[in-house]
Amino acid sequence: MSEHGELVGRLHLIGYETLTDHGLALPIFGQSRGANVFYTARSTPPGEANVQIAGFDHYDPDRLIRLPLEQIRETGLGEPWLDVFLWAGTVNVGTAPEIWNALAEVRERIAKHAPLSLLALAEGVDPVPDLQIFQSAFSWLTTRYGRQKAEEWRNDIYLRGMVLKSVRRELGAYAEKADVRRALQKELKVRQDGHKIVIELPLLNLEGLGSFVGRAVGRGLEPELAKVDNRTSENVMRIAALQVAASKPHGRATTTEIKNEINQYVSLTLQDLLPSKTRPNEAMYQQIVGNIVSHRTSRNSIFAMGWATYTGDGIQITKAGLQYLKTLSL
Amino acid sequence: MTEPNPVGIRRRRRGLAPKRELRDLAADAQPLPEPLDLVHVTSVGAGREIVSLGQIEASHCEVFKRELVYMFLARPAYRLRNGNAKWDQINRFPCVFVIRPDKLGPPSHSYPFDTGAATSGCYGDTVDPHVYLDDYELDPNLPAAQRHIAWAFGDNREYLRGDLILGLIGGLHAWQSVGQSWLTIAGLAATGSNRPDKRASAIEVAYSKHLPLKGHARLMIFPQQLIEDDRGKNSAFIEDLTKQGLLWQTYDWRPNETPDRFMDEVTETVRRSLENAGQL
Repeated sequence: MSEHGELVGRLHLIGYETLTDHGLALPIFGQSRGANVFYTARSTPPGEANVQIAGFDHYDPDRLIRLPLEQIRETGLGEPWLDVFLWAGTVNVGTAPEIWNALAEVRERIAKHAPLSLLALAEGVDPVPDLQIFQSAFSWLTTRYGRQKAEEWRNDIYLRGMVLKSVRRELGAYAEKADVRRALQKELKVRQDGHKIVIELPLLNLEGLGSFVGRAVGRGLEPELAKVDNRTSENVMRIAALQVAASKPHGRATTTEIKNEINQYVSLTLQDLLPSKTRPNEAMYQQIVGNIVSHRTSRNSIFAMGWATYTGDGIQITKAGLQYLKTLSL
Repeated sequence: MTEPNPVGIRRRRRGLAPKRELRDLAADAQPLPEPLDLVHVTSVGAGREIVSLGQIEASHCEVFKRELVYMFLARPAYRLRNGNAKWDQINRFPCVFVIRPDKLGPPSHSYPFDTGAATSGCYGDTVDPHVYLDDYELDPNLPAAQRHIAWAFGDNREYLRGDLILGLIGGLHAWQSVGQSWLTIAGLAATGSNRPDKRASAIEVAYSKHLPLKGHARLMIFPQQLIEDDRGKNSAFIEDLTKQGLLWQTYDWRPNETPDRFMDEVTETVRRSLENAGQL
């Protein structure tokens, strides 16, 4: 089904739109060769080998270039991703491994002129054959644009991209949520510390990171992973829960309201937003909110401190609670 | 993005004075010390043409019936051209110019959201039907935009995130319908919104003249494939950039990446650039 709710059965790869005159282009699909309604495909997490078509979305191309009949390919959901790769006036169509093999005789030449495009294509091939391509891309950038630009590319695009892909693979659909994407962009940092590359990332239990380090080392890099523990403390969450209640009529907020609105009062980190290990349908921060409301007898609870009373389905902030927020200038 | 509502924000009929309440609400706010750069988002194809021409050309706007160049303060948000939803090219192949506004002179107009999205109904039923587009207009100068940021967001960083100062709406009188309606619209851009639409509180700044890149644009962001060279065209493009005095940064374009991901990358690059320039 397309994003617009239409049923899309099997489609044909009928053409492409170019980004530039070489390398990967945007594949365009239609119901038939002469179609005048067009689609682009969505893939399972990109940048990996063996990605598949996960969906089709309507697209309105400005400059569609139609493929000749013999290159048109029929495909559908769950089938291997199809690429279009342009080189020296020829159009190569197929899966990444098919194109990789078809380009065997000119790969060396591509690496000399367009190593970034070759690297992008190589990532779709299993096993990834890009050990030397990465190095030639880095050398090519250094020669052409200087060491600083080459390091920027290596750190901000290549390594950062590898970690992002690793995290997305681990988190699955969760990684596509807007707040998770925002937190990940903000918290993932790649920095140069002398000759050392340090990758700062939230404290996640990512199995894929082992493979990431292996792949990075395979490319002659030895990045250091600095895991950052930045989960929002329960104390900060308690205060935010009181703020949600204070914003409501009579100072009463249900647990659901607190769970839904607490992000207006506290900047949630990626660790806060990750799924709870014990309640997979909830994010970590929602579980903490649940604990704040349900752990009424603990010594530091908002109830024991006299800042709120339990209402049966949430909390009601007390005068002492309002006074406490005032002392915090909130 | 909010699903379009068939009825967007309407323009006020000629002869009726607009209630420009947002100007008064921000009147006492101190402009923030660091003015923000402007951001122009377009498609890669249009971006290359801009570089080759050396300027961003004003084009006809159906909403305001004049030739305009559109930008947003700091946020790389897409503008719907003439309220038309044909924005796939920008979506799939975005490229961004970051522009210093200090020598551009006063803009033609400044609004606290994307007027194209507003008039085409993208803000849905959050809109007060009795408040007209003209009522939301800010004073057409950048200090006024900075005051609006100070009043509504507190600082540049929060503006970039889209997070409003809490409790602002409670501080408004019931009759301040423009302020109330705008705060509701702007909430669509805030963190925690189901699908944040950053256009809903991005300050739109329009100029009624072509904008030369040289002396004004300081950064262009585009897909990394454009720095490679198959047949010489891209070398010429990079040379043109150098001639215009533009720095450049790239992002990793893939045919199977989502538009959201491209915008994440571009937004992060713009954020870092503003941070390095001391604006955040």
